[in-house]
Amino acid sequence: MSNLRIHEGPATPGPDVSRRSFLRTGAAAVSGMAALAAALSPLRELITNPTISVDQFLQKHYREMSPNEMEAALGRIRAKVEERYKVRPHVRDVKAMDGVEFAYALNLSRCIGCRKCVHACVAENNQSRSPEIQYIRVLEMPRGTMDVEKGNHHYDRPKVPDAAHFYLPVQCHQCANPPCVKVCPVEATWQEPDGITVIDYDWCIGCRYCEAACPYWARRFNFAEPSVASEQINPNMAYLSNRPRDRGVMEKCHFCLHRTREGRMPACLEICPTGARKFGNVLDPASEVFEIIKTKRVFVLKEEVGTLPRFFYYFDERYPNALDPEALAIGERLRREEGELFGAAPGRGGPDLGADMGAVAGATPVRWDGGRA
Amino acid sequence: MDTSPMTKPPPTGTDSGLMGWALPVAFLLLAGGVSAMPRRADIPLSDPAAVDRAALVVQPRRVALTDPPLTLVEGQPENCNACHQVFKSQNPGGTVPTFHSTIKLVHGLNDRCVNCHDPNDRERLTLRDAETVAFSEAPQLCAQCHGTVFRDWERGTHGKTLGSWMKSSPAHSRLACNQCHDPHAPKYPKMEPLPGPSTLRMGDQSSRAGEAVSENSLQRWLRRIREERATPKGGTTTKPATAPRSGGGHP
Repeated sequence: MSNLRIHEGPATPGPDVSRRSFLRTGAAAVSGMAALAAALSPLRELITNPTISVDQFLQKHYREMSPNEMEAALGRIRAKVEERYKVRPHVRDVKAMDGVEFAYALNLSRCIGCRKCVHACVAENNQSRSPEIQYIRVLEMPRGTMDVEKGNHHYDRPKVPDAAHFYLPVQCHQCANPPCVKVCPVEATWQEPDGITVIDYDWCIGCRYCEAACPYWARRFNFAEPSVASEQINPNMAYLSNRPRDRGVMEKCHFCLHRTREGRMPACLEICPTGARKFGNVLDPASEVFEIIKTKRVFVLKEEVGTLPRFFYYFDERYPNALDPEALAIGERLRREEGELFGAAPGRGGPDLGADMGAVAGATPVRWDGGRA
Repeated sequence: MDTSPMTKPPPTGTDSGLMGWALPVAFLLLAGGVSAMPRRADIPLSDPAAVDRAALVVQPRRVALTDPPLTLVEGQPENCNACHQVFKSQNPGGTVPTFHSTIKLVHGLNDRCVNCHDPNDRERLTLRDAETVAFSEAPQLCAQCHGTVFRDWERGTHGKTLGSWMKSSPAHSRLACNQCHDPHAPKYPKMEPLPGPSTLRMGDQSSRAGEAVSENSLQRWLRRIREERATPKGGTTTKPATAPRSGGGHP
C-alpha cells in the first residue's frame, strides 16, 4: 500500500509525498479561488457601473443628512434621471406636516375591481414596467368569505364586477406597529411622524427581511434593473417616494407622500371611478376618514397579528338588490345547493315550513308558493 | 511531542487523502456542469401589458348639467325652455321620451320624466312637495328617495373628493350625485378591467366567467395537447405558447 507511506515518516517527507500534497493543495486552492471569484463577481459589475459614484456610496442615512448633503443627494438624483430618462425632474425632499396622521379607508361595497388604481399608482410612482412592479393587488374574493387565501389577483374577465365575487384591493397598510421596520437590519425603513412607513432606497441592502415580515404582501423587490420608458416617467419626484429606484432595493406604497404632504390626494384615489377610496387626516374630526371610522363598521385585515394598520375597509349597509337578475340567480343557486346538502328536494328550498306551521295550528297547510309545488 | 499517536491515523489518513482528491474534483465537475447548463427554464415569458400614462386621466366621470341647462339642438347648445315653451311635451307622464331619443330611462321604479323634471319650467327640477330646485342642486332631488346614501354623501363617506384632502384647500372639490351617476340610468355599467399582474400564474386560473371550473390547468393543458395530436398535420398549427391566455404559466 503506497498510500501508507505518507504517514510512515512525517518528519522526513519523500519526493512522492510532496508532489501529492502539492497537487492536492493546488486543486483545493484552484477550486477555492474559483468559488471566491464567482462569489465576488457582482462586485465587478458594481465597479464597472458608472451610475454609482463615490459620493453616492458615501452618502449618509436620510435622517443623518444635513440640508447641504440632502441638496447634494437631490442633485445626484436629478443628474441621474436626466442622464437615464432625458427628462428634467422636479425632485425635492418633502417633510411630514405637523398635526397630521394619514389614514386610508376603502368602501368594499363600491369597489368594482377595475384595476385603475393599480395602473394609476404605477404611472405616478415610476415603478418598473418590465419586470413589472405594482404596489396594489386587487383580490377577487368569493362572496361570503373574508379569507384572503381564497382571493385571486389574476382574475381575467371581459367585464367587472362579477356578481359572485367582491373585490379587495390590498396595498401597504402603513401600520402603526410595523413588523417590516422592526426586522430591517440597517434601519433603511422607518415610520414617519405622519404615519407613513418610508424607505431610503440608497440605504437599503436588499435583504428582503421586510418583505418576509409583512403580513399584507405589500413590499416589492427590484430583482432586475427597473425599466421605465422616458415618456412614461413622472417628473414630480421626492426623495422618499417615487424617485427612480435601483436594482436590488425594496419599494412599496408610501401614500403618494410627494402629493399628500402637499395637500393633494393619492393617485389611486383620484383615478377611482366609483369613489370607493377615501383618504385624509385622521386627527381632524372634520375629515372624511374620521367620519368613516366613527360611523361605519370598519375593519382591518389580519387584525389578530397586531400590526395596527392605518388602512381601513368597510361595507355600506345595503338592501339586497331584488332587481338584479344576477343576484337573484346566485340566491337561487345557493338555495339549491343548500337543499342538496340538507337532503331536501331540489328547488323546494329546504323543509316545508308551511306544512309544519299548518300541522301545529291544526289548519290546512299553507304553502309559501301558493300550493303549486 | 509524543509521536506514538501518529501510528494510529493511517487508515483515516488514507480516507482523507482520497477525499482530499475527490472533493475538489467533484466541485469542479459540478461547477462545470452548472455553467454548461442552459441558464433559463423554458417558460414562455411575455412582456407585461403596459398601460399608457396619458390614458389615465383624472376627471369627474360625467359632465353634469349646470344652470342654465343646455342641450344640443342640431349641434347648437340651446336652453331647454327655448323649445319647451313652444312645443309642449306630447306625453309628459310617459316613460319613453318622444324627442330626446338618446335618453334611456333605467331608474328602477322611477320611470316618469315629470317625477324629476318640472313640467312647467324645464330648466328646474321638481321636488315631491311641488317645490323646484335648480339643476346645480340636483342632490336635493336625489335625497328624497336615496336618504341614507344622501346622508353618507353629506358626511363625506359616499361619493368622490378630488383635489385635496384638506377641506380648507381651494382645490378640495366634492362631486355631486350626477357627476358620477347618470340620473336616467344611475346604476354603473360593468367595466372592462385593466390588465392584471403578469407574475407567474399559480394554481388554477379557470375563473373566467362562464367557463367550467371542473377542469384544472393541468387537465386543460393535457386536453389541448391531445386535441393538437388529433388534428391532422396539414391543418391548423397552433403553438401552445401563442394560445391566448393559456391556463398554466404566463399570461
